[in-house]
Amino acid sequence: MIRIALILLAATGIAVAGPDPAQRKKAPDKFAKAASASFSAALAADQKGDLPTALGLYQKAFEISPHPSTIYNIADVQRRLGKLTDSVRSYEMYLAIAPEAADRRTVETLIEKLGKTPGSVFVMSSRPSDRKSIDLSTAYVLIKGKILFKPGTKLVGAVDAGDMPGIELMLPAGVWEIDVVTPLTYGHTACHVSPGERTLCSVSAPPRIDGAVVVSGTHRNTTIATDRKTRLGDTLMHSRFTTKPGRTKLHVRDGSYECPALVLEVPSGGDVAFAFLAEREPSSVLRCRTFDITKHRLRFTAD
Amino acid sequence: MRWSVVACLLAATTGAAAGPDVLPLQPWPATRKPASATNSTEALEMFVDAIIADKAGDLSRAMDRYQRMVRLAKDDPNALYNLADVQRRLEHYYQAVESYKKYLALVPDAPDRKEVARIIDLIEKRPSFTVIDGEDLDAIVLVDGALIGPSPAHVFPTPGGHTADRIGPTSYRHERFYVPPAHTDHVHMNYEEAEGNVVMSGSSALPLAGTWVLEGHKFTLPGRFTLPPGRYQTYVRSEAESCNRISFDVAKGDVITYVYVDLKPGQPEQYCKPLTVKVQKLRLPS
Repeated sequence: MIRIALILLAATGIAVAGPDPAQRKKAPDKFAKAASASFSAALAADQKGDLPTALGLYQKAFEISPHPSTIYNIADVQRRLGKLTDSVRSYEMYLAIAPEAADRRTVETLIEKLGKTPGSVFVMSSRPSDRKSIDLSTAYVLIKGKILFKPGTKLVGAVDAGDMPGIELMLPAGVWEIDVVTPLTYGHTACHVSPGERTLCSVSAPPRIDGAVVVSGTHRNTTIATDRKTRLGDTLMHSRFTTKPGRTKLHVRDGSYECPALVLEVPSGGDVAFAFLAEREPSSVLRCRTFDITKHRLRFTAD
Repeated sequence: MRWSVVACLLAATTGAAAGPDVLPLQPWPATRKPASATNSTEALEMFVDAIIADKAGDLSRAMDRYQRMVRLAKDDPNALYNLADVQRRLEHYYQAVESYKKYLALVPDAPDRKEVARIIDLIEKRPSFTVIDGEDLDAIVLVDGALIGPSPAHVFPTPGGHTADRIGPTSYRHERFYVPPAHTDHVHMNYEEAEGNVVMSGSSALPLAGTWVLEGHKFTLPGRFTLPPGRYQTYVRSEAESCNRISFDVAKGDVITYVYVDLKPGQPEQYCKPLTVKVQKLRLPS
């Protein structure tokens, strides 16, 4: 039986959007003849339940003659087909071309609800025959810095992943940084989750990467270094590296801005100090952004 | 928070508005206008891209899309307004004001004219903001002789000339910088190796700088150097150029004696400079 993790889902309090019935708008009064023909055919297909055909015909009608009713129906069909990202975009286009629409509030609420629909994610590694394959059962799996699975987690198979062993999750839409730390190596990937859609996220790593420190984070523009002479572009972000045990301070830069140092307690033995930096401000501002820093000591040795 | 208190003290002595650790004008929610109905499909695609990026928190992409749309739609006022709003939230205040002003120029009788004018006024009258940072760890920053705290420092200086000193375990750097009104700036102080238990600095109004030797001791302003513990009385640069000598005590131990020299206010213009001095004992973060 597939085990589905709803941890993050529960934490965010997001409900899964159920299938809503069709909500179509009638053909508009003024319509070019060709667009009207496509629109009518789309309507007929839709009513027969042939949604893919209906979608294609509505899109044709819209390209011939953009009209709010047409794009609204496109959004609706996309929603019923489970293409929520496309549906959100189409609803936004509806609001863009019908700024005075009477149902603006309703559509905005629907956009928000669709956008919050979680996606199903399967985290896996590559086939064992690949030298970069990771044995997830020996790993800490962290998502946005939170430990989700520890070594010894029972893996499941997924049909759409060729029965590869992995971990099933439900995650809100967005980009999720997945870090996998084993006694021998470290792998990372950024998983793009779309609302209501299925995503396979594969993580792989070289067979061996030494080091008692792993630093990860959400932004590509953040530089981590052990000394100030690090060249531009070189960074220890999303890497596992060696530094002497004890209290250590790492240089952090956000673009060209100096940030407060990252202080870590580096363990000796086989354990790993893990730090995750998540910026609070979503985009580039003219200073070092504020980071929420999560730290863990990942234990691979018996106490 | 301790460094906020120090920043406020600095603001009080330099006459700036007291600034918290976060910028004024934030947080301020997004305000978006709908697209104009007359836009082309291409412009509308850009608009939708921008809205979706904005809602996802990718403000840089949203700004880029609004800018493209403004070019496509020949200065659509609503796109300009939304662009200004995104620029404001990105803290690109100069560009935000430009976009708000273009919006008002396009729609002189806009119903929200007063509100937009108020926003422009708020932005233009905001305190200037300066980031002062560098390269090595465990450094501290002083501005105009006042200790701000560990680097990086975020300060709200009054318009005019200022000095920054950044002291690290093995470095020292001095910079003079000028702050225009309502300006955001980044003073990055490159690593400059220096050691010693004394740092001597001076205000932006002080015209004297250089190295001199007095009674077998070498002094540098601005500079970092070593002096044995004890009391010192020195002129700055030369006896003729200093109306008076300054005094300071160099402490024992792992302490940096910071000597900040300024001109006495309200003195008549003369060849020799009347000097004041402020001395602080500083410890670097461990």
